[in-house]
Amino acid sequence: MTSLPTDNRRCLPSIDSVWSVIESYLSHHCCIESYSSDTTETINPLDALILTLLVDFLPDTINIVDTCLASTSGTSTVTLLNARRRRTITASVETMNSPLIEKVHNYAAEFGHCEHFLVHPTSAIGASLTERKYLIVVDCRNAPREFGIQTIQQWMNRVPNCSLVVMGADHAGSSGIVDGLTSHLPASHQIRIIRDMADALYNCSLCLISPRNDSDTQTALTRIQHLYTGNVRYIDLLWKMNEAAITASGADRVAMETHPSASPVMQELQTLRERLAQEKQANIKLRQRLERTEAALALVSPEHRLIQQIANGVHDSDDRLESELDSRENRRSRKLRRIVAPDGTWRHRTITRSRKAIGMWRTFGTMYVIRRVLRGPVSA
Amino acid sequence: MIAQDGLTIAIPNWNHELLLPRAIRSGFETLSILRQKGISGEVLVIDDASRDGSVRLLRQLEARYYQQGLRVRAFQTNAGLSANRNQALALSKYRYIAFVDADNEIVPENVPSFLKSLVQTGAAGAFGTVLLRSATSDTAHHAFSNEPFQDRMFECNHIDALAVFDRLQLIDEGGYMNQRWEDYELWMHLAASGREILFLPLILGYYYILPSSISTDPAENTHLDALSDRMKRVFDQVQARKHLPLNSRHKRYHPELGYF
Repeated sequence: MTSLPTDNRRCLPSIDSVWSVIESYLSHHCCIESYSSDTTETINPLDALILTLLVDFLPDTINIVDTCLASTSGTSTVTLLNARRRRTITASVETMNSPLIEKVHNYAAEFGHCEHFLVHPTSAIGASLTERKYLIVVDCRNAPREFGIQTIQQWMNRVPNCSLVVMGADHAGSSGIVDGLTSHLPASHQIRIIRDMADALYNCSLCLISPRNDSDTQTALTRIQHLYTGNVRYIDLLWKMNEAAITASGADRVAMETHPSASPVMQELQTLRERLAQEKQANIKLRQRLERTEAALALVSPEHRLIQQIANGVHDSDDRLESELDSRENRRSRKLRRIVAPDGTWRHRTITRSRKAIGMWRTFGTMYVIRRVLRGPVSA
Repeated sequence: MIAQDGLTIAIPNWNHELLLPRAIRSGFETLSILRQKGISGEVLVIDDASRDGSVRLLRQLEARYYQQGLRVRAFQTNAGLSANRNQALALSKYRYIAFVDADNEIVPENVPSFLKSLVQTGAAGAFGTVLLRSATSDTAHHAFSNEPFQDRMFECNHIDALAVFDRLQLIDEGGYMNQRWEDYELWMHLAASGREILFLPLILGYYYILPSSISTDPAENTHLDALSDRMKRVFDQVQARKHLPLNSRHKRYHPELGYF
């Protein structure tokens, strides 16, 4: 098979560039063909990158004590061997006969790291550490909380002024190792949790315990933090995206309605809603009734007008009839009077005076008539 | 060991910070569909010394999505698209590879058909129809790369770089040449070397026309005549190609139908 054009460009460190080395070690030296990168038998890929960056960002080369060779199947040691600013890697092991030591030795020999790789039993390691400054890597992922805290304290007592990188740190406030360490930590040291430095580092399980006056490790951590923070916070993007989704789905309305503190307000709202619905129904019925009435009225009015007209006509004709009858009666009575009491006779004068008196009585009443009679006739 | 039945979606990136998430998302959607069919995959982003914030974005995305199959390699010096694609060929874990430009996106639903076609036929590459969209549009206004390999390729390119390849055959042929229009040169090289190139009548991706795309850059387009002359000089000097057998000529294929 021919090969591609060579590309000797230097690569910036990434999880893939760090993990590919570990993969190569696992497949060639441990003969593990298939494995999961999220198993606790190896170092976590993101932890491997951050550990590499932490060492590479130190201003001077540093000696490292790796206590995780057995618990990470040698992958932590391989990671540290490939860091550029490491001086020696001293593996602290319980037993010197572990086959893993030979595998890591073979890997170191293949890549020319033999002189930088040392192995010492844990019990005797204190005496062999003569340098002032060390970085110690401890694995607490599968250890009970108290055991992990005890291990860390032992190392701090054994190698004062060292910095410790602890694998398996959990969130502050979760009653794990970090909370336990916080209460046991001497005032001269401080603890920094890597996952709290940036949103993207959430999956990192490392924390760093270092002396407060160790500015080198603090600077290295700051540089790592800058690598994973930018113009946009990832969590802000997620927040905005979720907010838009919630707004679109109306889920916040449901949340508001079901929240315990919203109960009295929601009841009142419900009552008002019901009343409003009832009012609306009543309005609708009234409107319908009005429409029916108007419709009926619209039908009745012309008939009513017609009846009125007819009635008026009847009244008019009644009036006319009455006046006609009256005039006929008057003519008959005048005719009869001319026969019975012709004009100029005393009968005519008597009838005329009687009619006048009757008229005055009707108009002015009985007493007026009596006074007139007693007074006698009034001259003109 | 090369996984024989998986697919790498390679995204070479150079200063496409704002468009990169779209390409990566389409890659993840493709992985999801492949996983449903029991096919492994990965999204491999090769950054060619970007300076616009792409590296920071990639670092953060890799920290969050490494376990889901996102791999990032960021180089410190710029070497061009050909070198980046060749790096993708070298770093890929799987037998098959799809190249997606950082400003474009792949159509996830159709990728299994392209992969199946390569497995069934042993061809070197399979391409499909690419739809053209403007930068902010979600509908296409044109389709191209929608014909099989024809003799007029020796006159003018009509196949896009977005395609699925058998990585080993590409490596055996020397990968991409370091020149302009390296994807055109690769198609010609594969055809002239007797490799099989398939056309599937399926949409493989969306090509977004951006204001500063190479395809709209007048400076790039002034070299077309010189490039065309060079292609003819290299691949069809005596203008006899159309009379010679060509394994890639008019190869239309569909995994359900076979050659048609």
